[in-house]
Amino acid sequence: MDIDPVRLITQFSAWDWGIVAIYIASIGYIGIHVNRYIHNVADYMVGGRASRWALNTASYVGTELGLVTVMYAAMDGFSRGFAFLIMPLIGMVATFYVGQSGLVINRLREMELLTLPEFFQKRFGKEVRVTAGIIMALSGILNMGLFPKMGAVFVTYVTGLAATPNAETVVNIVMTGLIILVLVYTVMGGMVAVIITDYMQFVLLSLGLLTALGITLMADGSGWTDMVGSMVSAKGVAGFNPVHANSYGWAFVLWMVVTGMAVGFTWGTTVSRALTAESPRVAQKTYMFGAPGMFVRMAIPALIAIGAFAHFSGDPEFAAYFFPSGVSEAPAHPAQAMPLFLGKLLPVGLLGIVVAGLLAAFMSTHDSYFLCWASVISRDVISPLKGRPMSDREEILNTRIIIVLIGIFLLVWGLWYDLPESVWTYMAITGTIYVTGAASAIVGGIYWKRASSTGAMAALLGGLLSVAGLFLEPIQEVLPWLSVGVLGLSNFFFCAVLLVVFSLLFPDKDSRSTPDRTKY
Amino acid sequence: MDLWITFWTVIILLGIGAFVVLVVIVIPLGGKDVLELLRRLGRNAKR
Repeated sequence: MDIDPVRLITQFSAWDWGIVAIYIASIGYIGIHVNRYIHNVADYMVGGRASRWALNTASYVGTELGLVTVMYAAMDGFSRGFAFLIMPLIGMVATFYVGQSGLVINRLREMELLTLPEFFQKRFGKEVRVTAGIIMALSGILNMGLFPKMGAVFVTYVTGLAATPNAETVVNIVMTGLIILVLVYTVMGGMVAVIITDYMQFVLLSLGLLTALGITLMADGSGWTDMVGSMVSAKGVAGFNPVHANSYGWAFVLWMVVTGMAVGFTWGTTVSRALTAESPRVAQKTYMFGAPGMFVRMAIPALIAIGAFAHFSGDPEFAAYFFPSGVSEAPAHPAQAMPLFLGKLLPVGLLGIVVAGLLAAFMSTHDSYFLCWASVISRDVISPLKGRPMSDREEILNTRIIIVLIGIFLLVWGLWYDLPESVWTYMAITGTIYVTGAASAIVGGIYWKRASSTGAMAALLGGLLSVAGLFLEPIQEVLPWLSVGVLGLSNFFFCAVLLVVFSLLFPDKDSRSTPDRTKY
Repeated sequence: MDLWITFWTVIILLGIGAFVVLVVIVIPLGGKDVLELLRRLGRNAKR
């Protein structure tokens, strides 16, 4: 069902546009200005490994607190209610545990790597590094495939630009503009610019989101009592209990527990904050202190979305638009609910600050991801295949060209691919294409001396089976018990088995547990 | 149902409370670290 475009007008004003423009101009200036501090590839890719704990923590939370995170958390909060909060809770506990124990990250930082796949070369040799690099970059780029589209939906609906008969075209124009903006910024600045804007974004967004949540909780129709009451009447226990049969279920939650741990030490952009840290101890502190950020980055948007649920379900026209099959069923247009609600709720000025903060979050996530995946392709795929180390200049140029190519891919993918109902599930599946195999290979490589290069290769390739999660419906016609959670969880187990079996069957001839095998 | 509501209330208060403490500490110290980072990179460039 369509809605009268007039109902999509928000309070976003010229003042708010002014705040956003000033902010974007400021970070554009910083991107260009810090370019003069970049003199070698370590400066460009890991900020000279000179980031101390407070800045590194802000940068870590800033990278993870993207507009995309805000959007997918809001979408699932709007669809699943309080039950979604299990995901941020798992994220917080897993991150704290990885930091407190130093699991894997300590060793990775001690090795003074620039990218994670370098570990695979040091431990398993060039072939494993190139394979890991290809799978990591493919999985990561596919994972960020929906980022620009979600960012554009947010901007279009929060600013009221959607109040036209053809909102979809506006979304595509906004998406193109956003990609160009981020490309220019990342290509110019590198990691030093990333760290500094992450910090600015942390400041603006943490204060903006906390204030927005406060206003949501105090507003008529979306306060705490309304949130709880609307969820109780619409979803019952399933709106609160994540393992309920009508919510995520046990298998999905357990899969998220394992994934939450594994992401902490396998996902390129997350690990890059361990690599930019001044020392292994600072890397650990970054994770421990950043853990509450892992909760808030998803919990606050989800809570605001639950406020939106309470608000819109009480308005007949919006209820018909968002819940055509009734409030107890999966909603339509879940991506539009939270931005539209914020645009109608927040006052002029604060709306501009929150949107500027979220746009900064959009840029921060994109520049980190662009830089991470482009570095991996340049350094871990092209360079080893060339058979000689590249000069710093050559490597930075390669990285910049790849960043532009990834940007073009994102534009095409965003225009072609429609947003699914749960972006969270899409992201979990695409991410685990790499994470499942890499987790076994990295943990085995560090803590098990008999882990061999054949075992690591088998585990990495086994992780590719996770892609089946994107095509689950036809598979479920044959295997109806196979849910996304069961598939994801069993694939972790499968990759671990592959590592062990292939390592025992095909041990390495020379001892590779001692680095350094980085020279080619 | 009431147990779940109480559970999420406590978790939200603890999680957001911890984040507020983090924000209060990290904003001033992180600002200091930004300046130090730029100084160090500048010094390295002169060498």
